[in-house]
Amino acid sequence: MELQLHDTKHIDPKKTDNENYTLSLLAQCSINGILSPQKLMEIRNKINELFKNTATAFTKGNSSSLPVKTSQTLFESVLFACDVFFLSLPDADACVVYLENNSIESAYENGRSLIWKYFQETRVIFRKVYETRLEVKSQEYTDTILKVFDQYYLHYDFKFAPQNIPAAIDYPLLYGNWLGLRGVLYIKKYYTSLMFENQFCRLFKKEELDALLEQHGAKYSVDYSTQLFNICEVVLINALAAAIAHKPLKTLEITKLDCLQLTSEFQLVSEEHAYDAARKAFCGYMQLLDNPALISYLRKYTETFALGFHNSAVNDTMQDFLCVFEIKKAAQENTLSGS
Amino acid sequence: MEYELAGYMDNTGLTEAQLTDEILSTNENSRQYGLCISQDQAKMLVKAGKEALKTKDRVEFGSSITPKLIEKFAQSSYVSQVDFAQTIAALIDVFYEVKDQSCDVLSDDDVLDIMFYCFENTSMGSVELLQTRDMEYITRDIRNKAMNVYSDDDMYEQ
Repeated sequence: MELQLHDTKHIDPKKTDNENYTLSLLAQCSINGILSPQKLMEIRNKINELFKNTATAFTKGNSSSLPVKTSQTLFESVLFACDVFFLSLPDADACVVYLENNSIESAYENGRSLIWKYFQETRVIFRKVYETRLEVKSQEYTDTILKVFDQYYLHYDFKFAPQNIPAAIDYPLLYGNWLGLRGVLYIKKYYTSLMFENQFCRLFKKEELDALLEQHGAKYSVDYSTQLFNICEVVLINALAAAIAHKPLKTLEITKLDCLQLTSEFQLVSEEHAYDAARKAFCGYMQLLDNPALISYLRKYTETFALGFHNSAVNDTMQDFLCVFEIKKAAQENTLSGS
Repeated sequence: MEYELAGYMDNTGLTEAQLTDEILSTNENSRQYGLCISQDQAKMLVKAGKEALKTKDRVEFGSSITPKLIEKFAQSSYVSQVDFAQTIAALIDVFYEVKDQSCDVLSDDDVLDIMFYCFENTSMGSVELLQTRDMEYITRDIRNKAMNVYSDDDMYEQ
């Protein structure tokens, strides 16, 4: 069968919404005349049909109606399955080609299979997260690994509500928790990111990591175990700063003297100079990380770091930006406090 | 063409013409009880059904419950040709209220059976009593049991 290609109009990827991909895709097709009104109506009717089948299965054929809220969840489950499938295609244009040449039911069925496949994959990803978990006191971090995943895995309704996550995920990732995804897609991305962050943090000695996090808490006069913050970010900031200060890789310790030297070196230079230093520092760590996806994940942070680093130097607030501590001194303080 | 969720869910049931035909087809069975729904009454019942769904915040995705209600209550000793259509219209409302108040635990057929039983044996043909007393009691009992609060009064246990 010859594939029918639509005309030269393309979908603008910026106008699609990953959290409602199918709907936003169809909206673009409608607005730009990429699919005919008849085709769009056919797709709409088929989606309604899929919803009816899902609702009938949900009620086991025992009811002809449902509350609006339940119906919306079931309707969204149909759209989510389509979303999962379309998001697995190379780009929005490929989705349009698929829609022109295949039925929305096949997209839905393929999406359902993918949901199940990803659901199983999250278990594998989680095992790696568990194996690389950090022995830290952060309550939210620990709960995310020891409790939250199980809540999701045991209660995930991949049949009737795959777009929902039956667990509260509060531990913030390096770039925040808004991932622009729902359901199992969110879980997959979240725990993959967490795995990357774990892998990076495990480069450092536990003693230094503990001292760093204790100091982070001390900066805000709280016990860090109750703070809601991203551990990897704190580690990355100190690690890059230490590298810029010509300390050996895998060092987190930053002393007051280091702060003074860094401030002095970067106070009067341009932002570009700070970016350059951050990139060079990160290059050093790239050699220690053998996972391109992990490197790509962390590399994005260097710009954020460089901006904060440069501003701290200019404003002489390096001691606030970094966590300043000395290992021997930290060990003494821990001994005195009985921890 | 807009692609918002609400727009989709307005069109998940049968069309008005299809519903009217379904209701009129029940006359084949109802005639044996001396009952018949006219074309106008069928349209009134279609409208009543849609109103009840809207009021109770429900979405119909399968066959309409109205033909089933007609077939069930045509057997009642408390309905006559004079008030049959109006009674059905009122019962549609009761039906969706029971579904809602019982948290959709009961199937459509179970609700119809319970409603018919109470209509015939306890409320004696009064839709008002059926709704405000009998169904209220049953649905409260179901909700309490769902929350593990047991009722001593087992009047409606059977």
